[in-house]
Amino acid sequence: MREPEPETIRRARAGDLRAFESLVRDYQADVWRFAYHLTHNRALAEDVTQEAFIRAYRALQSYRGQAKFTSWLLRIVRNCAIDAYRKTRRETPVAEHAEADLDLDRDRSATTSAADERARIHDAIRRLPDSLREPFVVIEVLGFSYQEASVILGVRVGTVKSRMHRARAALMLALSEEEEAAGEV
Amino acid sequence: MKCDAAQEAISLSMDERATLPPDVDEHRRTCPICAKFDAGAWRIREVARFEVAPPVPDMVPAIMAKVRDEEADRLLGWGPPPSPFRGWVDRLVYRRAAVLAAATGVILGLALTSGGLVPIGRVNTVALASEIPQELVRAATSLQGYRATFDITESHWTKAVPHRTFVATLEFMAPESFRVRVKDTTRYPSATWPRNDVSLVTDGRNWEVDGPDPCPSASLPACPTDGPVRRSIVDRPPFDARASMPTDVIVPMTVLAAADKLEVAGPDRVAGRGAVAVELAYQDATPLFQYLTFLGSWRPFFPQDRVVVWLDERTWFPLQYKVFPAAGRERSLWATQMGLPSEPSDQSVFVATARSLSTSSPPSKAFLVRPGAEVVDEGFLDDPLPTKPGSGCPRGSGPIQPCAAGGLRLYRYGRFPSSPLRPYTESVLAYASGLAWLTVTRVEGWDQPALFGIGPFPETVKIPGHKGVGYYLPATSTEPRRIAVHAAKGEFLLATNLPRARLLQVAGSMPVKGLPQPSAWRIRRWSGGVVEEGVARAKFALMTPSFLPAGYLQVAVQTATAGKSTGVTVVYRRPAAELDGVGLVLYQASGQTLAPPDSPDEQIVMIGPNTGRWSPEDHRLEWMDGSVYRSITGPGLDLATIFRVASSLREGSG
Repeated sequence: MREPEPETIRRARAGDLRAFESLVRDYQADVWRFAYHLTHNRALAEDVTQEAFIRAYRALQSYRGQAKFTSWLLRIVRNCAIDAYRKTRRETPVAEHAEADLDLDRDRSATTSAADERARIHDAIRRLPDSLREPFVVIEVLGFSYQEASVILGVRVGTVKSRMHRARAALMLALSEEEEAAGEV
Repeated sequence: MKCDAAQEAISLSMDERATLPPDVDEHRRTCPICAKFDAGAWRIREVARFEVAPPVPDMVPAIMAKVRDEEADRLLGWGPPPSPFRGWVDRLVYRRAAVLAAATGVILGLALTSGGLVPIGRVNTVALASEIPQELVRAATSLQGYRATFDITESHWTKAVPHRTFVATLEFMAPESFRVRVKDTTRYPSATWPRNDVSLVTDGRNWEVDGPDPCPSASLPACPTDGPVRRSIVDRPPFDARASMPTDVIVPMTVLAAADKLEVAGPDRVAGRGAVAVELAYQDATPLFQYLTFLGSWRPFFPQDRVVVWLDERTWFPLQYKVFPAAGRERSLWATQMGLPSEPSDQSVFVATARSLSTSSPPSKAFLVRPGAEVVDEGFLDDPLPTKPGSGCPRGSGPIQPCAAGGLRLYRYGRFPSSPLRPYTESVLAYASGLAWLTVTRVEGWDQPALFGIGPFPETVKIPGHKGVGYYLPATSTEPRRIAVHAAKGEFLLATNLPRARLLQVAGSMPVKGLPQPSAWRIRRWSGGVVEEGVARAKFALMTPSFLPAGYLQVAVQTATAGKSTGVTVVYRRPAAELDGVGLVLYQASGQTLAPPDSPDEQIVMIGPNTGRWSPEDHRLEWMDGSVYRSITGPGLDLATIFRVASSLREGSG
């Protein structure tokens, strides 16, 4: 993710709504994708995106450039996703939220073996525990470095590295188990 | 080497884009488990990183509406924003549903009938705001004929009639024949309710409107008592603003020329046609509604309500437009004042959808005007078109006219003869191409101490080609863009619906040089004091804003002195169009105090250490800064923006 112009951030911090709007316009897609990977649900990802930008607007005064803007923003997204998750867990069984999009993707893509493989990989990513899926998404999907991921996730760089490796190992295991199960059938 | 350590090193090298250490690389090549891990990890990366991106919804309008809402609440001291997550999220979910519904639009039966649509050129799927004005001009200048039918739904006119429906039929033939008929198809509670059937027709020289007079909703359904009115104008001058031809609904030149306010929401499809959705404040969209609101009763809109317009990407004709209420308490207070119900910002309250449109020319008889009993004769006399080139272009001897009229052709020429009420002569040259037009008015024998045809606070502009100065006003909801030129050969007024730059070019091709207006016109004295234009002079510290909304520029100043009181007015405007006719006005005065509140809707606001007042009705923020009264008025701007301008005031010359 490319960083915004410092002048845009400066103007947004000074209360220039048009500058803030340009930040929203530039980063809404990345934020939404991150939120979608965290929530597995389009509507919830949209809610998280909107809430994240509102919180970013409120917090912009306190942003001093100590971390990259994108890292700072995605950390807010992550916090919003956690809040949303807690909230929805209180209100509705999570399984009901994590569903429809996944099924749609699967239905659409189950027509070819290549598409089937992609669907299996995405399923496996979705089934990762949060502690592994988050670093995986930040690094593998969004392309951040360990250092940036540590800012976004609020953990040490060493933790990010080990979790990333464990995520890959868990994915490999899940996929090979699926292959074996398919072979038995 | 252990597989676990090798796989961790493989993982690390993938993320850090580093080469594998030789021992790990060797192990990977010889160990089938680690080789499979390596290949699998890269395959997962490929799938995860290069998956087809799912469509991302546009959340900018919803987010910014919330941000502005919060900002206004904060400024008004309505406490911290309601925190967490779900309350407003739920609203936004509904808003999203509405926006999606708007985006997908249901326009079944849009028929592109004979004559076909004019292909304007390249298909512009990602039109940028700065490109749209140029495209509109191209579309307007090439349009010879137009016929369309719009289905219209309006909500919340009155409590008893929450929804009304209309069918509007529009016809246009270049350059100046226009007709609109609006048929009210609402099912009213009883026959006593007045039907809002309105019509307007002009052939250029004659003009007529027919329909009920506006009626206060409180008196309905007893109003109107006198039945429909019919007003006619004959001997109408070309492109007369007083008897206007509301063609923005065909190609919205006036609205979208205000490009700094334009938000391109993105490409879309309407009834199977590629469209570009643009969004603007109602304040900037009023010309889109003028083909309806010239007579009859219509619901009001808040200046910051959002209007989304879907423009055909090939022809730039509006295919659909909708009004969504603005969010926030300012808007809610206004709605209460207007007797409107609560209107969520995600639900459109007005929808106009093209059912059919065509560029075939209607027959001339469609524009026949049969003047009724109430006829106004404007007294314009048409003369034969001059056959000689314009004086000074370069050796012509015809009437003074621009040597280059922006690509438009001379179409009418005539005059208002002098009379006791008009002791001067006024001749008009009209140029047109399609929907685009330009008039050049020359006045000889002008006897008034003011520029001809221009209201207060014009911007002094340099006319290109070293042709001196002119006095410019942007388009308003009732007037076109204009330049007044005071010259040795008389007063000239150039008016057009073309963009400002084209108007300046035309002015630069006039064989006259613009002179500064005489000081006696600029300084007006009366028994109570003096008003001096072009001067900001006071014995107190004048302040200027270090922040202005995008596109706004300082265009005019004025100092008024009366007794010991001095007031300085500074006007800021956007150059192309300021439909409210005001823009942003900063007024500072000594010897003046904050008047007592005169409306229950006024709010107390802190501006730095000073207590101020926000009048939502006037969009005015005012406060006392020590002994100096200051106010900022901006009908087209919200409180957050005006407050920011106020907060940015600093001492300086400006």
